[in-house]
Amino acid sequence: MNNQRGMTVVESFLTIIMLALIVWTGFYAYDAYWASTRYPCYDNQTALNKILFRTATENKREMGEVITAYAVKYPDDHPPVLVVLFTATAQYEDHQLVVVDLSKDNIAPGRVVCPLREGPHVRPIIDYWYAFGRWHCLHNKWHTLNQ
Amino acid sequence: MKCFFHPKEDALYDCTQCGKPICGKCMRFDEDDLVVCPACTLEKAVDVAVPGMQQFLEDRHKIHDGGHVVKRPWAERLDFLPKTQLIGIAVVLLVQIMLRYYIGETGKPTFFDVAEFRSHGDPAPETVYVIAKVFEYANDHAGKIPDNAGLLYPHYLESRATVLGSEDDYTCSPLEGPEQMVVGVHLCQKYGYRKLYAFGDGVLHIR
Repeated sequence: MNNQRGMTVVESFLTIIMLALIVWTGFYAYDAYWASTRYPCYDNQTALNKILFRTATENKREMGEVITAYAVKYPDDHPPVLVVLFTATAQYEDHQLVVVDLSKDNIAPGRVVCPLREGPHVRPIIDYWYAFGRWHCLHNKWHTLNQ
Repeated sequence: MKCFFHPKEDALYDCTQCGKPICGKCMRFDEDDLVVCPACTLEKAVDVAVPGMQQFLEDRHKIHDGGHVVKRPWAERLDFLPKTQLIGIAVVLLVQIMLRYYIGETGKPTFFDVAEFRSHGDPAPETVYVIAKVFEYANDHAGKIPDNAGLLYPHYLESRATVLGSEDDYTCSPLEGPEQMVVGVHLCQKYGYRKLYAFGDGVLHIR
């Protein structure tokens, strides 16, 4: 049985399926494009995670007691910092806030922001944010290490 | 020998295509002036119009001759499927599998919603998220701090800036002097903080 364009019903059906698959694949291609630059960002997050782990150890805390942590890059010569907030426990009755100077760890300011970020900025930038047990890249949501 | 189509008539010829005995009434000529039977003439015409009909008619002839239908191989049975579309679907699926493998578990985008913040019950991570968005807003607007956190929605925050999904709004306002701005939780006592805010340097202040 042919339709007006000379295609059989089976051909028309498969053509529609193929077009739907192409559209569906397009979404994956979009994700792949934005995720293609994630590994340098993971390196930055891993470096910050090491400092966070060390900070927790120095303060006799565990990683599970970290409520949130984030790195701040400043527009001027102010060294980048890592701000860590620990939760209150039986041993520590109040929340504990620790600010780590990242320049002492030889962390360049460019490493506390996403590699995709470009151009000058006049206000501080918070790109790397530790919450819910993992690091997030706030500049590019495809760079978050989902594990 | 009698005609295949007229059992009462004597056969005068044999069809050069199928070999059936035919009488004078049934005699036809094909384009090469060879004697053919009406069935072969008809089959040829039908086969041009409907691909695969020739095979179908041959099967019917075998039944008529007392034989049985020989099952055609699967490849021939699937002849009705269009190869172009099938190859296209296979290629697209292959590309999609490769992309999904490349993206993996780590390359998927992350979305934050109010429920995730609320489930943890502590406004501090959400406050940091709002502070980061305030800085993002300011960098996009030549350093101008938003007059209130409501300006962050919808371009910078996915939902209205309320603390843990409650009706309590985040406070955000530009300040004169070295503090430059303040972002915080106005009613932070109910979340276990006496103070929870940040100035222009982005560092949290808690008590």
